[in-house]
Amino acid sequence: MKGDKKTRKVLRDGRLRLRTSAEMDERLVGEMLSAMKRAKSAGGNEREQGIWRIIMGSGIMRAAVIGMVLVIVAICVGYFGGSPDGASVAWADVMEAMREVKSVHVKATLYPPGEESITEEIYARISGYLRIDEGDNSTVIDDGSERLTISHKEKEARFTASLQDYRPVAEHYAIESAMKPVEEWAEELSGGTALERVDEESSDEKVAYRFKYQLGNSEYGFPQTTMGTLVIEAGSNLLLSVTITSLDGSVVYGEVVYEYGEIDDEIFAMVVPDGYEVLERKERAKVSGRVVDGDGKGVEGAVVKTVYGNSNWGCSVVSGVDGEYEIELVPYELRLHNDIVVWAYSEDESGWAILTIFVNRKDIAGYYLYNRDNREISKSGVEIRLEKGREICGRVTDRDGKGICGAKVEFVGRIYMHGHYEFGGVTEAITDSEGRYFLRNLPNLGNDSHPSEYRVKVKADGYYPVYGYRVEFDEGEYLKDVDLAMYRAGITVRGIVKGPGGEVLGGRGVTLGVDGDYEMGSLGKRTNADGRFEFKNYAAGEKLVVKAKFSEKNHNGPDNWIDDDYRFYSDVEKVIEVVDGKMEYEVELVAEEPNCVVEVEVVDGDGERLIGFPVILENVTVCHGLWEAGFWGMTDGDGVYRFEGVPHIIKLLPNKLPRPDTMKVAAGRVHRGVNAEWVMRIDRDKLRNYGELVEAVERWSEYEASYVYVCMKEGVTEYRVKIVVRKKME
Amino acid sequence: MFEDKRLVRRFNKGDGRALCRIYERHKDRLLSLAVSLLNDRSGGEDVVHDVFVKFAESAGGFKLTGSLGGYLATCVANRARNVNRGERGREARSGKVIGSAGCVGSARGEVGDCVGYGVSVVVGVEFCEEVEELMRALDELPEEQREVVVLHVQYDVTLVEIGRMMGVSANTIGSRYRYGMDKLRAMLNGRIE
Repeated sequence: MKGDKKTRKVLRDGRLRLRTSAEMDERLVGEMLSAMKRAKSAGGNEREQGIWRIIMGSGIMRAAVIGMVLVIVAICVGYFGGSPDGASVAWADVMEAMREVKSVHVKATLYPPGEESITEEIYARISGYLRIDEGDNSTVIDDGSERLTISHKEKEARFTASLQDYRPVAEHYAIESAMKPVEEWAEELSGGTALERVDEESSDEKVAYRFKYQLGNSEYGFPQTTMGTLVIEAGSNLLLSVTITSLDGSVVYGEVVYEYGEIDDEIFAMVVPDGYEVLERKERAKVSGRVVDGDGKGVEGAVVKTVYGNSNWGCSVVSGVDGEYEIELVPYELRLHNDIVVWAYSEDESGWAILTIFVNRKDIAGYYLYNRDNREISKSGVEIRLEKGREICGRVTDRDGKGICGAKVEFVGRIYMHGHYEFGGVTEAITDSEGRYFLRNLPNLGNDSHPSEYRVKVKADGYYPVYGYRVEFDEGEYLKDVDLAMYRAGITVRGIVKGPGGEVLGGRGVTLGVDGDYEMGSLGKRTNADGRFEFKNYAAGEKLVVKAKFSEKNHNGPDNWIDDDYRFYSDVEKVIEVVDGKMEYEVELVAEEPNCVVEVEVVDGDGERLIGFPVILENVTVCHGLWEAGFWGMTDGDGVYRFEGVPHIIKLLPNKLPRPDTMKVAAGRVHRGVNAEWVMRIDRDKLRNYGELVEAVERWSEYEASYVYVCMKEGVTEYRVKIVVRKKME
Repeated sequence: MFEDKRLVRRFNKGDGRALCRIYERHKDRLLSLAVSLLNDRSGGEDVVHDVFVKFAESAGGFKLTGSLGGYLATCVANRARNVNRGERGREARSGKVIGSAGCVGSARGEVGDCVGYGVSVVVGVEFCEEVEELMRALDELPEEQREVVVLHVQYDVTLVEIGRMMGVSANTIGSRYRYGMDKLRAMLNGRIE
């Protein structure tokens, strides 16, 4: 068995850890989205309509439109400096006004193209009353103790316990999203956000804005532009309405109107309409048992907390004298989209435990419980055994070693469970007067192949945040002392990126790191059409390193997949020496003319040189797939092809050691992407050239493709490789 | 797993971003698996391509019964098996063809750090001798056993899941796994202890 274990370990260690190329990503993402669209649509819908259908297809998405637009308000206003009308209405005031709202009536009417309109109304009293009317489908009323769900189509009604212990009205999406703009959305959306006052629709009472934003992360998919109009009441600073239109503004897709007056009690009356059948009341499922320590002894005062998916939707109880607890789950009739995780931890005992609750609609009680070994367990008498948790402690200081009081230190690592990584978020701490912090009860999950990641994030007023500083634990190690020295914030670095001929380069990635310590803070930006970039409020280290990443290319979507003018160069780096008192710096980053040569000789299995054989040069780990800029060709009369003007690319890997990057030379059949369909997407002028390549590939189709990897090394500009290609086996 | 379930739900509703996120989460692992089974990066990319496009076409009606990673991994294994059997043949599949082709370069400047075995050089994994030896032995296993060993040991897909996806009983899968591991040990003849 020992040998078996070792064999398995070696097998695991020897597992390939490949990464897809960006070219493959782009091509495949495009094809997948097309395939999905074909599957989902009967065809003929225009793009905007398709997007709208996606939104309309999901109740959650549909409802989220309301909140999403509110978030846009936040982003738009922040984007333009915090004042929607440039004078009287600041966004902070809007936020403040929305926070003071005691009750709100939201009416959303959506007009999907070619379909009947859908109306959803939400009445909410923040004190604890909620009613949602989903058009003719259903009505839900929750008064804090009872919840009535009425299904109009089936003419049925069912009472259950209130859900407000899981999700208070104030955290309902219609309200929460206005109160708490989501940071990640901000990052995702801010790139394409625009806000413009519409004078003709504004008056003394209200201010109207036309907004335009991109929904979608270009890294994962195609940006989808949405636009519309929002109106803010000038006196109260409250949001009055949002309208979503087609891109040219001609078609109204949806309207959301807000009213903030008193709401009558009858709206929240738990009345079943005449003729409706009242179904048997369903109690919420309960999980009960004991929280015990490693010796099986009950732990009093342990927190048992259910967490719904990645949200903060959940509730918690504290274990009793002998560790006993009982916790109610969400009624399974609710549309649950995520499983529930039960965290348990005890500050006194310094332990943690985790259970997972899977929703199972066939099961009479609606839930299965699993422990972390994936074994099903019963729902009563569930013993939660605390395990020894990991701990991170230390000091947060400034660069002179002085403790920073009141800094927020969060655990933002990833834990491995049930075959996947999940984001953690168990604990956080505020530093004391000496800057000390102590993070406890960190789960110790994962295995050799899938270690959990422990990272801490630190924020403090006036300092540049530390994003995800990685903490490594050795096996059997439970306590780690980690001191973090923060940089003062406030530096602005701006500049311009140019090519070897002095031409400005737009869309290029630029990173900024401080004192060479990327763990302590690095940022990425992209140059605008004028080749310019700007980093604001950055860390004031002694040296700032600005790097133009000429060796990379990020595409923004199908419209600009192919850019004839795009050229790859070696990365260029500049170091800025920070001078006391000087807060603004300007740099110019100019690419160097590429000067590497890669000579390829192609021979068959007998060593005979092959003439006119297609070869292609691409970058494996940095650049995104094929280099359209001429890095392919056919071997000459000597069976050789010489790639000239190849950039010398050295990549700085996360381990901070410069390592040679790898380039791949392929002969014969190139990527599946270079086929007729893909070529058709390329600019017409290039089609001709690619056509030659494709023809050559076809001509030599009886040969198996082959390739070699060339590691570029510092100071070496000439490379020579030989590729053997063999005929395909029958 | 929770995120996968959420993503699948969104995917079924036609959310393209959910599909892309699923791709992001699983692509590297699946590519590694496909290349492990085929010993050919290009062929592995094709397999991953086919699996994801097919998956995308199931939008609206896709039902997830186990883990999404396990499901996709098994799809990759099935597809890779078809490629091996139908399109290439065992001999052509051998990584040695590619490996030898990739390592005959001679240096005037510098030539890549080819290690003579397939595509493992891509990732910079520093193969120790015993790992390389084991990989060669793995390649000698009958295809069905090799699949199960790779899926189970290297990619954490449970035997039950493999059986369900392949339409074979879990016992049969368990037997293939045991036979495979036995053969591996026998082939290595105690060289890995």
